[in-house]
Amino acid sequence: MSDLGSDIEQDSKPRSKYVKLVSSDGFEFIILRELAEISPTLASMLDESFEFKESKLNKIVLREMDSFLLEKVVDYLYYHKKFSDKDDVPDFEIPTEMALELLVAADFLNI
Amino acid sequence: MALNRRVKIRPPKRNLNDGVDIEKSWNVLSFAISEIYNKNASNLSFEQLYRKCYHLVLRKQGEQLYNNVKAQLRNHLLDKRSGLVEMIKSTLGSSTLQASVPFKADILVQVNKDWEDHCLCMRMISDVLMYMDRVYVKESQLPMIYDVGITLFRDYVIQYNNNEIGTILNHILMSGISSNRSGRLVDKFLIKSIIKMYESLVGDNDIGVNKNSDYEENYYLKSFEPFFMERSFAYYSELSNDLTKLENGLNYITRVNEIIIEEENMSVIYLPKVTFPKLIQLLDGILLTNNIAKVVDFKDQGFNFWVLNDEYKQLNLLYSLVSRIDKSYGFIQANLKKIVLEEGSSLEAITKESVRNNVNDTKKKRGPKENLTQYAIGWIENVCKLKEKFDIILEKGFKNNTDIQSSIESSFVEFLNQCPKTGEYLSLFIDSNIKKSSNNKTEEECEKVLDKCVIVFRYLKDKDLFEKYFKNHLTRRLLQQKSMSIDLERSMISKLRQEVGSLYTSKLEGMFRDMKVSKDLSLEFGNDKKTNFEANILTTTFWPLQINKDDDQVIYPDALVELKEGFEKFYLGKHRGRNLTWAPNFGSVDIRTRYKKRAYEINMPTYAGIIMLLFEYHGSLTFEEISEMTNIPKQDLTRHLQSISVAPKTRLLKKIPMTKEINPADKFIINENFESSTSKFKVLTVSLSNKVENDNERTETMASINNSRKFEVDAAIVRIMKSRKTLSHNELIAELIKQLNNRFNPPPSFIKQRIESLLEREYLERNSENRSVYTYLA
Repeated sequence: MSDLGSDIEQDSKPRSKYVKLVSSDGFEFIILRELAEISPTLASMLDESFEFKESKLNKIVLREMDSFLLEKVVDYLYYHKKFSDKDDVPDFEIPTEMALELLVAADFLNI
Repeated sequence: MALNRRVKIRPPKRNLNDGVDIEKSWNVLSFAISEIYNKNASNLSFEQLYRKCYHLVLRKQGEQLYNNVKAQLRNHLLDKRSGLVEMIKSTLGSSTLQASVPFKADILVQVNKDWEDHCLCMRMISDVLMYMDRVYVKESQLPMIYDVGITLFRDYVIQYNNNEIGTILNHILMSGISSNRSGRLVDKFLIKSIIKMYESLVGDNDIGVNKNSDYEENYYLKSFEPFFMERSFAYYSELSNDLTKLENGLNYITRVNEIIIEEENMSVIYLPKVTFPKLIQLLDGILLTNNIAKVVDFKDQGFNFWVLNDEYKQLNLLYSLVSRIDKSYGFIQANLKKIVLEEGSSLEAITKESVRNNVNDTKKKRGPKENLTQYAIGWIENVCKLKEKFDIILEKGFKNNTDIQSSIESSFVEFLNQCPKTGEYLSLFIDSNIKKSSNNKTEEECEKVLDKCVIVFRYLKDKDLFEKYFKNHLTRRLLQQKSMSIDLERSMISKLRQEVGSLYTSKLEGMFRDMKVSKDLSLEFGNDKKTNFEANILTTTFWPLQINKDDDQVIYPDALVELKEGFEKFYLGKHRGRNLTWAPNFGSVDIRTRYKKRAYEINMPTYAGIIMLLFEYHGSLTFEEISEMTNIPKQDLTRHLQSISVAPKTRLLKKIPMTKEINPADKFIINENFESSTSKFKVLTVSLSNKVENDNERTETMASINNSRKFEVDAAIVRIMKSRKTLSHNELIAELIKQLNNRFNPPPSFIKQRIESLLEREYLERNSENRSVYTYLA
């Protein structure tokens, strides 16, 4: 269990409006909790009743994703929220070179 | 996306945890599961576990992971189970499986806690293993890991070792419910949560084979419900026995009602919806269907008691109880009917008794006829009271239920028509209420009484019989001006018309028309002649008067002859071609005369007047002489002589000898010493008021009724056949009964006889092919 390292801050009030997503290369993205909860995977991680480490710290370390990928994921979450209840939805820009990586990430996050 | 730019697609990083050790990953997960059970999840990183699972599944290790998890869960649950068994044993002692297990909340609490923990853990585990569920489990069509966990709980905790814990739990629950039933306080929510747990335990016994099993009995239905129903059955049966033993209907229905409410509340709180109807059915069956008939027979506080004592509240309660098991209230209907019939037949005795008491009280001498009349009136009055009583019972006790109402009504019809004289009695009753001075009722009160009469009338089958009596009585009231008010009479007629239509009342209305026309005529005639003469011109067909041929022979005194001829001339001048017949026995005259003390103005029947006028010229006359000189029929003569020479208050003539009976040889002279307290008075004729008929008269009436029925049936048959031309026998009879319903119910034999007669007279003929079909011959 030690491979998470000790770099996680003992921080953040319980149930803050924001959560922190950390990429494999150490970049931190602070986003609205409700955005994170778009992904069932992330939502489960944050589920308070389960009391996993992530939900306590409001911080999820995503070892599978580097910052480029995670940035794109966060982009997508905002995009999802912005257009989820609209009819006229523009395409989500996906750089061709990232397509496969994003596919895997989407599978992982179940979004 | 511009694919034509030929950008290189970066491959996803596969090498981060590449070469990940499957064994190691599993160990991490397995440890995590234990940690989750130990509530140490906060030390675990979801992301890490999820990732492990993710990689295992990606590396095609899903199956092994699934089975491993299952095995671990099983082991864990077996541990839990032993803990529970241990605890149960220590709580209950060694004798765990006896029939009566006390309600041990601790055990339930523990089981419930374990269950809730398990559920939470399973949710966490299944979330962590979400990727496996999503990918592997779906592909292989296995139950989701969460469901597996639930099934495992059932198989390895509750049902393990021959349903060991399950049985104990059932008993504990049941004893909890029992103590709740007997009014002790138990933690209902605890019971509820265990039952909820039972309901969640779905699935086949063998998890491995368990596929596509959407519809299965849960543990509650399979195990607890039958047990619960069995116990409830015993409980209700015992209750029912105890309650019936008390033989107190009031107690019974109040208790049953309470129990029903309790059981319903209980069910709502902790029983699933599926059980509710079953339980209620059981309850209704044992406590109501099986026993409700007994409630009637309880002497204290039984159905009969409530009805007789107007206990509306109890009846209402009973009604709502019966409504649970029988929406047509057959039970109530049958018993009410019995009571109505019993009460109805007991009226006879009651009325007789009250008439007897009345006679004893007043010590007045009355003829048997008068007593009978009194009885008739009293009887109808009691019938009305009885009806009123049941109306109120119906309204207050049975919410005006139409089924019950019709059964009450049919009972009334039955007992009213058991007595053949009801029609006559009813008419007499109306007579006594409408007559002037018979009681001190206001018109409104009379109206109410008449309304009740109409209800009794509605129940009569032989309405034509009633009509005959009513006509007779009405005639007397009209001609002798005895009605309290004509308006009242009219309103009675219009009530009858509303009830059975204008055909029925047309003759009665004709009588009123005659009265009105006569009044105008008399007024006109009186103005001409300057006399006060009232003639009633009565259409023969409307009035039930017997025209007596002897009446024509009556010799009138000169004063009256002049008047009579004058009126005849006047009337026939107005209406040519009509035939006037005089009916002096219905009229009256006013005579002003002087006795020793003072002058009197005496109103007396025409015949009496004729007799009195004889004494203008004759000092004394014998009965024979009077009869000769007047030609008044002997019977009438006797009656009138009685009223003016025997009746103590109006002894205008002196009879020699002074006996009550009138004999042909008796002599009569003016009673010089006559005196009266008022200067104006009326001579009442002996026995002219409306009374019950004696047997002879009755036979006569029945004969005449029968006669007129013949005509009515004949007329109805001809009417029907004329419009329908051909009809089968049964159709004809049905139609006939429908048409005559407003008047009487002809017995089939009577109808047959009339049809035969019409066949003979060639109004109808039988169809040559089908003998039961009639054809009308024009």
